[in-house]
Amino acid sequence: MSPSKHARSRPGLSSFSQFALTRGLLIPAQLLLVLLIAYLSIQVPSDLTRFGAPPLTILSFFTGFWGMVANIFTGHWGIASGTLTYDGHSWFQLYKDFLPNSLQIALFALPIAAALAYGIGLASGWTKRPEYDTPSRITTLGFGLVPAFIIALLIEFALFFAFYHAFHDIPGDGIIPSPSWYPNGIFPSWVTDGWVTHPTGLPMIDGIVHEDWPFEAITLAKTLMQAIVVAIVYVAIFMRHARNVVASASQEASITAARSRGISEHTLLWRHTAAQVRPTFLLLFALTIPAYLATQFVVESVFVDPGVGYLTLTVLTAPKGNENLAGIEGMVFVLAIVVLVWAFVVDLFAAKSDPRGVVAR
Amino acid sequence: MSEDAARPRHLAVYRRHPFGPQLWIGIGMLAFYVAVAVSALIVFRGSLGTLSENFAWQSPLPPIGPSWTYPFGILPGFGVNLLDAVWQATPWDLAIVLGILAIDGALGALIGAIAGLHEGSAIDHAVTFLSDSLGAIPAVILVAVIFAGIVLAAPADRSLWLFVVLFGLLLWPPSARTVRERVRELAQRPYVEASRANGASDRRILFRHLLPNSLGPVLAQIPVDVAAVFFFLSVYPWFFNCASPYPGPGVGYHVPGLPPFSPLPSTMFPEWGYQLGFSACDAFLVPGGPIYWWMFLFPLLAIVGLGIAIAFACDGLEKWLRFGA
Repeated sequence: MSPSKHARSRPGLSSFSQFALTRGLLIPAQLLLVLLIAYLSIQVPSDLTRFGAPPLTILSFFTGFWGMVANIFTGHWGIASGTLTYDGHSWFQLYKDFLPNSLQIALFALPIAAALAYGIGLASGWTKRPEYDTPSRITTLGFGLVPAFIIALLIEFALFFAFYHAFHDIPGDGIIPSPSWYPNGIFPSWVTDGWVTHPTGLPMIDGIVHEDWPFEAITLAKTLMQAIVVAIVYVAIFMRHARNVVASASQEASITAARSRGISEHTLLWRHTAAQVRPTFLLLFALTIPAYLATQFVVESVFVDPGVGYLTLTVLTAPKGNENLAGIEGMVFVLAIVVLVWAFVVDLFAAKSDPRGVVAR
Repeated sequence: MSEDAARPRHLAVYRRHPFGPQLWIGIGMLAFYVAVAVSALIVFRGSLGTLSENFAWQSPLPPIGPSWTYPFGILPGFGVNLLDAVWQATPWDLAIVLGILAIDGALGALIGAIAGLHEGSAIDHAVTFLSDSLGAIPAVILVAVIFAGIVLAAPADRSLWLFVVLFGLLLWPPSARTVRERVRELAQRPYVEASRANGASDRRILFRHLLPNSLGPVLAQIPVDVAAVFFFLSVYPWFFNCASPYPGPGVGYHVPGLPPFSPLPSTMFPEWGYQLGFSACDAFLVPGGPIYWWMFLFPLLAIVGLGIAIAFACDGLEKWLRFGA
């Protein structure tokens, strides 16, 4: 909807506020649609194929759907069973416990990814000379086609001995020191179940609170290693889009005019073009959030990190007899919330920095 | 000048303009893949859907690497000669990837163009809302979630084709979004206005002017979607066989297994992503130990090669179409 239509419908609000309001109001509706898809694709076939199940009616459909939504909001996500590690734990509690670990990785991975994507994306999209452009395109594409778990495994294996010599611990097996690092394999009292740290749940903060510096060093090293792997894989995904954006911006009349005034190529790229593409990069960032999440999920799984990603793949791939549909529905809810809110925040940033692009969308 | 009178000149532009080197490289690479697929159809006819295992190769110690006899080495667990496994999988993977891309590309272009042509209408709002909502879950997870329910009701022998249709149906939002933006811009161009003034219907404007000139974003998105397809096909088998906290068949050489929602009909089905995912378990057996590189390298090269071939073809086609436009 154009800003002028907003201005007519809600006088008194700036076009940015109107955009934020309209965009924000969409989130609950989008969330509801995602949950409806989850219900239709998971619960309905399960109910229909259950032996002796009553026939599906409009009433039972709505009752079932609202039952599912109620279960999600009240934390009834089922109990883990059949695993080697998590039996007896509620999936809801596991998600709650694992979320800080994933957040910690994301807090490191996102700035690294953003810095790399910004710099490399700008540089690679600037030149259209075939001797640079074609290899750059092939490398980006080829790298993007290699699944994240192969890259993560290669890096884990390559750094194994260096990590072991530096910390006397293995790089995988979680984001905090592995059980074999502790004397007799016993965790300190502020680490429960081997994966939850207290009081905040964020291992690096809790290490500082308890002044456990060896713990802190290993946790930082493991977090950085995982964050760098996530960033490297994500940058390959981001670059494919970013290069085209920079290439288009470099053809703009303002850039040509600046070049004709004798401004150096370096300044043209890092000041003029960079300022033009920044809002579009932000939008790309929002659009590629699902790809970022999928990458982090896989990297967490390679390092057996108790994070949301590892848990998500665990819930999804539970073998026959241990399936937990309520857990999958809960996972869909968590993912949808994260992506929708994230996209909303990034859209607001982009709208603030360049209202022409987003508000007019 | 009437529309019909303009058509021969319009097509003549394409006829006069030769394919660029990128398009020829893409076509050449794809022709190679098709030739390999056809040869596999002939050589493996009668057993195309099942790898022939050799029990002596299921857990050989030490692992058997590439040699003159077995140029790609042996893949333990499956107990197969890897060259045969990759070769036999070629027709299946080509069919899966091209099927998904055809549905995804056609839907993305059509839905995006319709939304862009009717900017601000209810259709436009519905398409934008739906694509934003579907984009809230990574496609590789959404397909798994939906398939977890579908496999309860669908017979195993049809699940692969259901998967192709479903993945194609869920991948369209990014293409549609970019096509919509392009069509919005094109719809304001003088030649579209002129065509409308000549009495052309919306359908004619859409198929004659807008869609052919809006294929660029779809062609740019297609190589990205190839990565998503193989991500799905390889990550879940890898996690299920190697990293899941559910007890597996044990340490050492694994017995291949498929996650419950897998679209593949059997554990011995030839498919590159599955081979890559499973082989990573044995290739990276002991942290810090040797990497048995051949187990994952050849399925990976097949995947990357196909992705690059499709990217070259799409890039070349986009440049060729752009010239004609």
